[in-house]
Amino acid sequence: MTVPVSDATAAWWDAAASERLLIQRCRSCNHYQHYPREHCLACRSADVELTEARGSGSVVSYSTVYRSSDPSRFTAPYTIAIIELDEGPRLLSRLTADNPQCDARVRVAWDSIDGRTLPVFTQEAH
Amino acid sequence: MSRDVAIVGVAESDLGITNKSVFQLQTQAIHRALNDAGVSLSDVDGFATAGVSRLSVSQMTEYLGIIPTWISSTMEGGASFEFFVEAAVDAIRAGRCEVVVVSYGSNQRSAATRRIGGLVEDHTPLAQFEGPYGPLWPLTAYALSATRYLHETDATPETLAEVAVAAREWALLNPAAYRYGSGPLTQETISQSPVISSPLRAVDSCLVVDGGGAIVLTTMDRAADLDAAAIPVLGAGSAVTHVSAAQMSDLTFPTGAATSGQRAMAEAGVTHGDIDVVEVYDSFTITVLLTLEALGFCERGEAHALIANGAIRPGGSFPLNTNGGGLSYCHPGMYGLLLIVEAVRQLRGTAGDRQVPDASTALVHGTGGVFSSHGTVVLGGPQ
Repeated sequence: MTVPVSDATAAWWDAAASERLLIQRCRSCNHYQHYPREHCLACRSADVELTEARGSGSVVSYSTVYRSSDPSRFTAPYTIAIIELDEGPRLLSRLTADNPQCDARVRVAWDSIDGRTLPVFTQEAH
Repeated sequence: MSRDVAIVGVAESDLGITNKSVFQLQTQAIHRALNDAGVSLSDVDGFATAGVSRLSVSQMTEYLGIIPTWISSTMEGGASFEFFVEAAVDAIRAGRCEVVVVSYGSNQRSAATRRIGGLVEDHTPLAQFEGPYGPLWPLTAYALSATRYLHETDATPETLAEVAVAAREWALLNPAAYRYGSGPLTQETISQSPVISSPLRAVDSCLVVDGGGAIVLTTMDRAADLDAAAIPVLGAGSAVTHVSAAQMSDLTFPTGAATSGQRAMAEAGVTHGDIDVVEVYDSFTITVLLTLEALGFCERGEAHALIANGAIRPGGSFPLNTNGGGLSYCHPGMYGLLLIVEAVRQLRGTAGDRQVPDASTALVHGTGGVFSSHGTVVLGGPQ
């Protein structure tokens, strides 16, 4: 599957390919958002930029998938999670953890899934 | 409270494993609903449907041989049919049409078209930022809500299971239900049911079967000339909030349901205590718990108490999903229209063994996507 990109997201994917997690910031109101768009969702300004994310956050929720959506691309089981980055925005990702926990702290890591370099998250030990 | 537009006919198509086409199922349901209303196809001047194909209304009206003066083919998942009722009421009031048919049909089971990963269109942000990780769509999104809900509240996996158990109990009273003859859902069956996307098991998930339905709406003036019992549309409301799982602002509170519910109930001039029967979309067990909370039938996190002690089972104090729901009756890809069919039957007093005594006000809530789209309709007793 090819990644469909727009001008707003092409730079995000280029950075991901070199294992850099970017996040969009509004230069007018300092709101952070993900995924990148043409304007700020908080103040509607078009003055937005991609900036390096700290790469830390917490687990909002997780679900381990036991029946793959497409066994030719994804080998079950695997754990999907919603991560809230410390900058505020949430993103859907994968979670590596022996014992996944809501609210646990995570760090970004990188994995190759279906032939693509993607940000994933590793749960930190308590 | 306005009582000037009513539902005057309802019907299901064949359900289950039909080996019929979408067009055949739709046409069957439409003829049955028109017969129920006592209205001729030639009188239909408004038409709404979704999920046939691109140009759904053009496809169906060509097939039926009608040229309506008002149409809608809003496609926002399972709530589309509640949106159609809201829009049809407005269109009838505005004089754009007088007799509206809303219909749906799916042969997803016979045609084996359903995929567990869902249909993801490559050009969308959802496909770009979530698809690459392999979530089941929509199942994993609901599972993420369920994990968080079990973390935040006193609900347990048994709370989720109770929704499925109660749905099965209702289905055992409904000869049209896919699980009519399947017997009760036991703890043993539940514990052996495979986890698909944790914490949700197969028994937490709706059926994947064929089915369809149709309803007929018209003015109350015209309804007065019909033999059919007319069920007034008292209020409606809609809201759409997001489509990607991570973009849901609060995983355990579908704000769209709160918005659409408040609007519908305010328009109807009713409060929660006035509602005798509730039909809410049960794509998954968690869907029911979060929808009931967002609609305000209980406080956040308290659905486990609302549904305890058999309250949502037949004979219970909170009649819910009285046909057996998407979990045990029928879920033909989009279920929203069949919610309305069941509510009308309850209000007419024609629901057979599953009839809720003295049901005079019903609330229907359709949900589409991943708690994305929400349509609430409040219906009154026969006029």
